[in-house]
Amino acid sequence: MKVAIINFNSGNLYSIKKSITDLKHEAFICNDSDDLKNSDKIILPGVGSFHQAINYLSKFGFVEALNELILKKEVPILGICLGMQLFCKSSSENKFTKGLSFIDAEVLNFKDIGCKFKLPHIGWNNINIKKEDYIFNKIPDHSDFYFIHNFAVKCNQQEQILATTNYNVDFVSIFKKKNIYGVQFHPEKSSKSGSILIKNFLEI
Amino acid sequence: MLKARIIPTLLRKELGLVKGKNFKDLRRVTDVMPLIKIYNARDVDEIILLDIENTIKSKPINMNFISGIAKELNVPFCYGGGITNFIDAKNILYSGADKIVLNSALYDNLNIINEISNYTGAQSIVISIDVKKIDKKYYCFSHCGSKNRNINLFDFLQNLSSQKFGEIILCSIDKEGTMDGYDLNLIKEVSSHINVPIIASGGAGSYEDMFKALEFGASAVAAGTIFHFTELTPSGAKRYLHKKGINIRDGFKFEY
Amino acid sequence: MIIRCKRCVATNSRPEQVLDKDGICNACHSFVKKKLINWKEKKELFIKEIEEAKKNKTKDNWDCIIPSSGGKDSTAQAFIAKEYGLNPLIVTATTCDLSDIGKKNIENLKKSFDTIEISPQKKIRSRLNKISLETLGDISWPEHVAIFTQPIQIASKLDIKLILYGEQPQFEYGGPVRSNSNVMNREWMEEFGGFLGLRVSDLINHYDFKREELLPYIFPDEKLINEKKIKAIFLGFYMDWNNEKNFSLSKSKGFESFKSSIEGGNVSYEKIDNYQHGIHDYFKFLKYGFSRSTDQASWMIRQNIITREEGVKLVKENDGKYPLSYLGKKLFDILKEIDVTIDEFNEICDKFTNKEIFKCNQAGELIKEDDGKLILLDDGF
Repeated sequence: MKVAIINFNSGNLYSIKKSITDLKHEAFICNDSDDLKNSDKIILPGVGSFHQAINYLSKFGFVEALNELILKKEVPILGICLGMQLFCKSSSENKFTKGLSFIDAEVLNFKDIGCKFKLPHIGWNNINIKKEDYIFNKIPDHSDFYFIHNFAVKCNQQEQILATTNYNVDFVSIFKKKNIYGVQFHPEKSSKSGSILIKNFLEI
Repeated sequence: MLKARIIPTLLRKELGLVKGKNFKDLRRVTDVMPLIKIYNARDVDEIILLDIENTIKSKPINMNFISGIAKELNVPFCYGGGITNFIDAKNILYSGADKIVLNSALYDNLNIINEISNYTGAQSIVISIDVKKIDKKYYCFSHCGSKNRNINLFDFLQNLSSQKFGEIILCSIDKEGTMDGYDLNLIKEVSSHINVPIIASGGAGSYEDMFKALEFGASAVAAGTIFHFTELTPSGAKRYLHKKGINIRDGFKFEY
Repeated sequence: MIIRCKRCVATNSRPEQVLDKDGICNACHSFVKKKLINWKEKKELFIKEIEEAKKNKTKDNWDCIIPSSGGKDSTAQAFIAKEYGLNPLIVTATTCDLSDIGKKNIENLKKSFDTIEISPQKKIRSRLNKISLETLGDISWPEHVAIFTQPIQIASKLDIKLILYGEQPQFEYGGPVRSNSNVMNREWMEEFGGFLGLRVSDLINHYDFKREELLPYIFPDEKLINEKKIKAIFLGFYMDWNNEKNFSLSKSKGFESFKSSIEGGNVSYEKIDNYQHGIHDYFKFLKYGFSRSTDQASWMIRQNIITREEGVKLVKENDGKYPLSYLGKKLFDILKEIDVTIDEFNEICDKFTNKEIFKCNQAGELIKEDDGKLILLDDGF
């Protein structure tokens, strides 16, 4: 199985690649949108700014390629952290920016959803499973994952929420729409639970 | 619920791991790789690795070394030491680190924080502040505690408010390596002053010290000396803190 | 960068080694300071320790324990104890891969002393060797622990009041000397024992061992040790500890050295009790750029057995050789016993090699000579 990790010039791709190769699958860093069509599964990682990421994806043909592969061909894709946020309709980071709109959700500042705790949300926090899914195979409810973000996702369609997490307020930590998964935390840095989650995604 | 983090800190200088007291009398004690592997096996919450020599000797950052370390870790890894520009920051993250630590460079160019965070996102940046108490006030020091920057800590925090970053690691030079307890007053004052997570550093001598630091406002506790030189371990710390009612990540329920 | 002491050949890269502004290492300074020590006073302190131990001794019991591995030092320690009128029990914590000559020297000690030999089961010990090699780059972790835990366990179980260790490493090699540096206890062991951070609790929690499989490696309850008034001390604190003198003494009592030159070393009477020494010392080279030959040449220079020039020559010839064999036993065979292949071994070597001190090619890979030896960028000479 070939897993493409999209490189939009942002963040630690090394650990994602390692977590896939540790599971004995082939992973490649995808710099060219044309190479995406050779992959069985795609990972959209991300650390950085929303509007810079969207600009990069547009500029280098990834938006088109993803629309084709994800929406039409329904290739399974996992969005991690910023990657998950990019699937949404919009983000209010910096200024209002449109996202890929794969999923009916918005990205909002924690403060705007009522969070009074210190920000960013950094560290290990647990998920609360809302809906059963294979992605949770062998992962107990309330497992801890590593989060590091200032912005949170708000889903408009409740049935797309797989898990929420609480940080003074509840926010969506995992969503799913058909072949599209988004996780707010970093499974590649979440030790055993993260590794199992990635394994489950690869088995879907 | 967000869990409190216990973070082993490793200081690297001249080929190996060093431990010091008040940032002085650095002893080389072993090399870095065995500890990285053990901490990974122990499934610690996070690791901080600071390459002291980079700053003191203006040594270029060794990206291969960083990849070598990242290869062994399944938990988050912060790297610091001599980072002065966003290209280095970007390459360090690309090589496998999850967060970068900035310290000495800030006193020459505070805006480096925003330059880097525009690229990497604010959350990947840890601001490391080393302070000494002089005449009852806290002053900032750089270059591993050797240079007094003649700026009061709270003035520095005020300057920082214009910058976008993730969290602060706050180290008391007076307490570092003493195993005499964290500077609780320092933690309390800074915690009430700013609204970003604080990692307390410098002085941990017992699990109770860690508990106090968290009670006084730290979101995480870093420790070096006790984990290296005594029989205390991160798991032991978690067991203790859990008993005291602190939310802590699993991994301590083992028997020994 | 590797810098060598101007007097001996020790490197700045060795843990706890410090070169002063004149380029002289702390071990050399320590050696000079030793000449100024009032050994008479120290002898009296030692006699006080003996008297205290004898006072607390229980009926029909040995006066002290001598921890032994079968080496020249432990042989010397035993006979020195006897000279002081002590009736010692030798506790031999056998090495992980006991050599034939090591066995012979243990048998030699048995001729003159009551001995307890403890051999942790090979099945467990080999697994520990493999794990410590892979995780720490130190195959000898089980030995580092057992030489402390086993004698103290026996002392606790048999209520023997005194344990006599040999060299005090901070005195010999450098490191912080404190007011209680004569004593070996849990605190000392944690800080200076060379465990590289690996603990018995890790083995139980993360490496699938049961506590009952690790009994030889568990340090007894310190409260109990103190209550029983059991004390472990370093002879090197109370007398002028000297490798040559120890060898002379032990030789006169039947200790045998290895009959040929030892791979990677300068002398044939040190480090001959364990076939795994070759691997252990090789990893020092990978991590720090120096190995056994440097260590030996350094004390030989200090003790005026050779000149610095001769020391440099020995180091250039012998240091850092790839351990194809040790005491005549092939690397393949040594590794086979702990279930490690040569390829796996080489991979582990590369992982722990500090690439900043060795020559690498453009792709960042280590350059190796025909015999597998790595080339230092700068050997410090």
